[in-house]
This record gives sequence, C-alpha cells and structure tokens, in this order.
Amino acid sequence: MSLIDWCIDKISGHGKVESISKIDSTTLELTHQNTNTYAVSVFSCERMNLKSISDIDIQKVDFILNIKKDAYISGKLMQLMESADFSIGGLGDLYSALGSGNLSNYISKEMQFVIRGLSQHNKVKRIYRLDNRRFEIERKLLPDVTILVLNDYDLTAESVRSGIDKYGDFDSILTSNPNCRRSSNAEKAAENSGRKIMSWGELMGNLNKKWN
Amino acid sequence: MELENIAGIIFTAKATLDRKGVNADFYIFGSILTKGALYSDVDILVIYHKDDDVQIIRYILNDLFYKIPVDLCFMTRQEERELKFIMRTNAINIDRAVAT
Repeated sequence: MSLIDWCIDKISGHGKVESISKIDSTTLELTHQNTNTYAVSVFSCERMNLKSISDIDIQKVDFILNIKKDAYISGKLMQLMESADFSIGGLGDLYSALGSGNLSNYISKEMQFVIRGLSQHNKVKRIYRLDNRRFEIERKLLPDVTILVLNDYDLTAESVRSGIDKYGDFDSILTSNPNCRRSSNAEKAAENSGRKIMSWGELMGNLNKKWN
Repeated sequence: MELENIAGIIFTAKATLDRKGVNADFYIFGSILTKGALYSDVDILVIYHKDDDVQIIRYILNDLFYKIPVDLCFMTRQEERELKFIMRTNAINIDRAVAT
C-alpha cells in the first residue's frame, strides 16, 4: 500500500470526513462535514524547511501532512505557513484540525497554550518562534532566553539528548504536558548539558529571574 | 492485520539489529491496541541497553516505518522501572502482541 493510500484509509475513518479522493500520487482532497473541501499534501520528511516543500504548490494546499512524527520544521517555513495560510502537521494534528473544521490555520492546543501564556507574562516583551518547538523570549530588563518545548508524557534521558540533537541551541526545556514525568536520568542529562527542565509553573516563575 | 504488519516490521528491525550486535526490547502501547480505535500513530517503547545503540535503533526503525507514523519512546530498563511505564500504559511485548 502506498503512503497516500494508507493515509486515505486512515483519514476516511474520521467522523468529520464526508468523502475523500486521490488527486495525484501525493495529494488528496477531502470533503468535510461542514461542506468545505480541503487539499492535503502527503509526504514523509524528518527535517522540514523551505526546500523540502519546494515541489508542493502551497497556493493549492490547505494542509501538509507529514507522516514522520515530531519532525523538525524550520522557522522560515513556519513563517511561510502563517503568511500563506496552510498548516503542517502529523496525522494526529490533521485529526484535530478536522475536528475543528479549520485545516489551513491549524495550531495545536499545546502551542496555543504556550504562545498565549508566554505572551501574557508581565516580564515578557516579545516572543520569536525559532522553529516548531523553540521560542526565543525577549524579556523586560532581563536577558533573552530560549526554550525548547517538549510534550513528552515521560521525559527520559534520550528525550533530552534527541531534543538537543534535533534543535540545537536553547537554555531550558519546557515540559508542556501537565502530566509529564521526568526520569532522574533525564534531569542528569539536562544538567550535564548545562540546561534546566521546567514545568509550566516553574517557567512562569523563572521568567521573573535571571537564570541563564 | 495492521498490528501483525507492524510486528513484522519490528521483527525485521530486531533481526537487523541482532546482526549488528545491538540488543533492545520492543513494546507496543497506545490506541493501536484498542480494537476499532482511530489511531494517528503507532506507539513503540524501546528498551535499550547501551546509549550508543540508540542512534542505530532509531535509524533502522525510522527507515522501516517510512510509511507509518511511529512515536518512539526510548528508555533504559532503569528508567522504565522508575517511571513504571509498562504497567501504566499496559504496553505489551512485541512477541505477545502478535499472539494476542
């Protein structure tokens, strides 16, 4: 079964999808219960940037479905996504977007919460989205800090190490999952790399202080 | 059918890893184990024994799972015990997943 046929099989099971058809080998069109039709481009890529989507006609696409879980999305591609009205995400994101009936401007609930919460903090002057999981936070009278947002339910040493490998430079890890459990080796791996792991509440408190 | 396919892919990965002298245990958990559930990815727990093995395990699994979204969770046995992951998630060993 090809990648697109596998996706059609999965997406057709979603309760909000009235019909679905293949347009070409990488694009499908679905009709939502709200009667709108949406074009979804399907591909599989670990690191997404402007070049990796150069074959996709973004003016005709509402959602780029990346089969790779937790893929890296560059900041420039994030900016293009916002300005050109299309979304990028995994199958879980597509299911959520179908649930809301908005495929072209989808933002996950996790990121909505983080962006809103950071923007409303009284020490935060401005936030810059560096890529799909890092934010540079400009603070009032305090140094800028960069956080990596990880949504793991169980944060392990390997979660920390792969976060560093994938995203590179940042000061602290925010565990955005409120039920996140951290292993002691995860704490050690972060400490050994000179970074801290923070829950949402810890981040909110630490934004008032100099920590880097 | 899907679970058998996924187990087959993991067995292929295990065989490749064995040939390279890499040992790891694989468990499946999450919505794929719920009959009739609409799942968006396949959750796989990988218990690794050496830090150096993680990259090759990840590479081989990602290569084999090109067409299916997989969420890989890597833990040492010590971390699994600490977080009680298998018990909390009702994860099942790949050998048992096929027999179920």
